[in-house]
Amino acid sequence: MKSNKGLTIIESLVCLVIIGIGFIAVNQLITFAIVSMDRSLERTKVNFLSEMVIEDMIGDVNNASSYVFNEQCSHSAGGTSNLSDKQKNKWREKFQAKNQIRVLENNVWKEKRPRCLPGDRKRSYVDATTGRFIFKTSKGTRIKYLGVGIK
Amino acid sequence: MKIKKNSAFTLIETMVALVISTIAVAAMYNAYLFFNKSYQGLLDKASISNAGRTSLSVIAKDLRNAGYKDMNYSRAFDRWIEQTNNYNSTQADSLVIWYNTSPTERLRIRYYLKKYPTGKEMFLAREVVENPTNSPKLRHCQRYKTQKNCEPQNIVPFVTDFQVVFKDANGNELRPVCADKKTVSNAAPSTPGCSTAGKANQSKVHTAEVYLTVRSPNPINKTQKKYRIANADSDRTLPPDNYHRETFYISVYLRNIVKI
Repeated sequence: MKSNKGLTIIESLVCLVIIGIGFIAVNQLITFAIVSMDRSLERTKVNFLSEMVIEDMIGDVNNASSYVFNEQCSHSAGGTSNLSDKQKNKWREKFQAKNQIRVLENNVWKEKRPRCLPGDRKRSYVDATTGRFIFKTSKGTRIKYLGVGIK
Repeated sequence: MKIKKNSAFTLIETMVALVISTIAVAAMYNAYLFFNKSYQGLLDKASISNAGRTSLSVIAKDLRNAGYKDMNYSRAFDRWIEQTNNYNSTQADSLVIWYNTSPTERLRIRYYLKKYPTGKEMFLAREVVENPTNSPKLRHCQRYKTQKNCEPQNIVPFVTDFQVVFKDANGNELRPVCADKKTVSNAAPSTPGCSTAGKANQSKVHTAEVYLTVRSPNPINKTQKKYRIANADSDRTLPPDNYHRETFYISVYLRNIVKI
């Protein structure tokens, strides 16, 4: 006749370890979801910033060739003599989210700058008929393309 | 046949089982709390992202249409775009856009921050008026024909700041850009008067920049944070709280106004 013994302590501990592994997996899932949501927010902003570049090219279509731009994470202001220079300075500010929202950390106001990693790049190409803009984020692995016919 | 003895648990066994099950229940409860909070934070961030994406797309569409006049529209067409600082004492701007949707219909769309009936929180309102200078009719009413219980659309809940900046063809800021108060139908009492220059500036507008700062519906930061909103010309510090905030920005070329 089979004995009516319950679970041994070893069996209980093994069970607990398995449940623990399950929790860790769910935790990883949540962490991944939070990171994905942050990326989604970042992408929304990248889309609007890309539209800004293309809109500025359309707005100065006769001078579109002056809107060539190729910068990575560091941006330093250029000239201010004409519209294209002013617009490019505006892009530099907006790519870094300058003068928008600040958070007080250790008694210092810090700007909420978007992440910029090695490999990230903002580049615009202009030829006789088209203007294109490429915005690379996440070490250059996520790429946003936007183009427009300008003539 | 030998029958095994059915002895009960010993005190030690019971105690060990109790300790293990207490640890397991505590772990599960903490995990539940953590997952629940993370999920709420996730939902709130998704809500901010969605609000920013959809609302700014709608505003951009209206801005691209601003000043569009149908070639068969016969009535006066002298107002295209306007901006008011500190509208209704909200410390935020209002943006008014006018355009034709048909040879007989003209729309006036006003974006502004409006307080919820309860509390200090605000939402971004979009008020649409059909034919504003000739038999105006508000959209989004419970009874459209009798114009009863008309309310503007709530296109973004929990907005902290809304700023609009107009720039001319040389990239310089244009201010003021607005029409004479006397000519504004349904003007809010706080609508400031506007100079002739302000009215004339309408036709000089080349680009519109819009800043929108959205707050999470629920507190999601573990610690209280102090925010300083410095969109365009505004600069104000908010009292510390646990809410998360994001600023969205768009820049739109006003193709229909430039071609007028």
